[in-house]
Amino acid sequence: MSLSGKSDKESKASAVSIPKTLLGGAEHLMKEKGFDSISEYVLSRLREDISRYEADQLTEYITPVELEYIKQRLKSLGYL
Amino acid sequence: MVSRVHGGKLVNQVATSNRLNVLLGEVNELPMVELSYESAVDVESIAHGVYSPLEGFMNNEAYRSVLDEMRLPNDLPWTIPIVLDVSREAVKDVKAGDTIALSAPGNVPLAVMHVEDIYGFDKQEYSEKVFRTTDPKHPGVARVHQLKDLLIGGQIEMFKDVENPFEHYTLSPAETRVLFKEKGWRTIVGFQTRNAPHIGHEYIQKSALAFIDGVFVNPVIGRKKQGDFKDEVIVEAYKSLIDNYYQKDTAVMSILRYEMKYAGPREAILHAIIRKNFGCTHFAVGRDHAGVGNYYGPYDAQEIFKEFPDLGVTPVFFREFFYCKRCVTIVNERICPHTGQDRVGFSGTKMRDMIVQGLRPPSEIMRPEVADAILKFKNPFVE
Repeated sequence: MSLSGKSDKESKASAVSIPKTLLGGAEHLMKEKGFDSISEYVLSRLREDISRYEADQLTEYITPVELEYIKQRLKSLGYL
Repeated sequence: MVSRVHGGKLVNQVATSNRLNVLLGEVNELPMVELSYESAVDVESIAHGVYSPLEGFMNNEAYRSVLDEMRLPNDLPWTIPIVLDVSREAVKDVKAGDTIALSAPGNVPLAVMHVEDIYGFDKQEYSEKVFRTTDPKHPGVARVHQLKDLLIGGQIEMFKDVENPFEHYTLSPAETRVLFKEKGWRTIVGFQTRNAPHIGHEYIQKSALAFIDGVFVNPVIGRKKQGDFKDEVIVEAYKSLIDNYYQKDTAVMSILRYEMKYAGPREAILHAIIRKNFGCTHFAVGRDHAGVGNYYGPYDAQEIFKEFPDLGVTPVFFREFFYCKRCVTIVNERICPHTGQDRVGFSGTKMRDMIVQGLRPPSEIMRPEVADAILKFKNPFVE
């Protein structure tokens, strides 16, 4: 726990604003899907989406030199 | 934004620089196992990450897990074993912990394998679980019965690509991921095919393009059954379709070197995983995907996706398209209220008969440019 009384996990979290017009529907969905809070529900959806997509992570498995080589090959084959 | 690689890491088992030199220096001293062309292509697919997260051929634990649970031991979805069959004679002096050389047909060394285990398997059980039948007339079952008696599992390291007559149409997952990013596609639908395209295929792809940025047409090139279109015919026919009927930068085609299993539902999941590894966010599943004969229900291959909410690639399901004389357009049963003789289906048999006679199928069935591309070949079908 931190000095503020929040857990380390909570103190590292960011607040997200949800318009009140959406809140009713979100609370209904949260209960229907078995979550205890809107935060838990939003967190779960975010995790699902993040696990599905990756933005610009090519550099995790391709070096800059390889990237240039691939671009050249794609150009020479007419793909780019 | 492309799809996350299955298992989170794009596998690269291609030896380069120093490691390549070490392997080339050692390979002639190692026991050598000669592979079939299809297994050699599997080596290449593993090495380039097409089957990520697999780094080699499945060991017994993974084999059992996939057969029984349709998941790898780490719980990732995986529905068809990726295995290497060997004869008892070929591995009589090999044991777990050994490193062996793998060669393409003609004793051309292409990789090494660090052997984890050598195990027997029950071909009837394999057939029953993967194909839902043990009928020897099923082409997948027949193929399994041709396999040698033992399977050998272990990580591979490849140092030479397999001969490829379609090299200019072959892209690795790393390459397609760069390609999709360069094109600025945020959503990509993968389209599996083993046929030359008729209008029904085109409508599936274009329906998907109504809400997805790009279509990745990925025809299967490799051993198929008698009566299927030959590989070169499929490539030329798709090239003609894309050149003539697609908006620039909405479709790309590269081939997948892969032996069809005809395993229907289980194979649909494997096809989706492969396209996820190429970077697809979506995967099109039509009627009787990867099916053959009447072994599977027409939409079994769509139903199975319910069992894999964690697949990480979104299936896009399509009913079968047909031409409706009253709608005067291509429709499917979800959007056309007419029945019976108003509907003209895309009969593969009818199209084949016309092509064999050197005739163009009607333009509401097949684009004339596609038909012409096919008719350039003296015999476009596998004999």
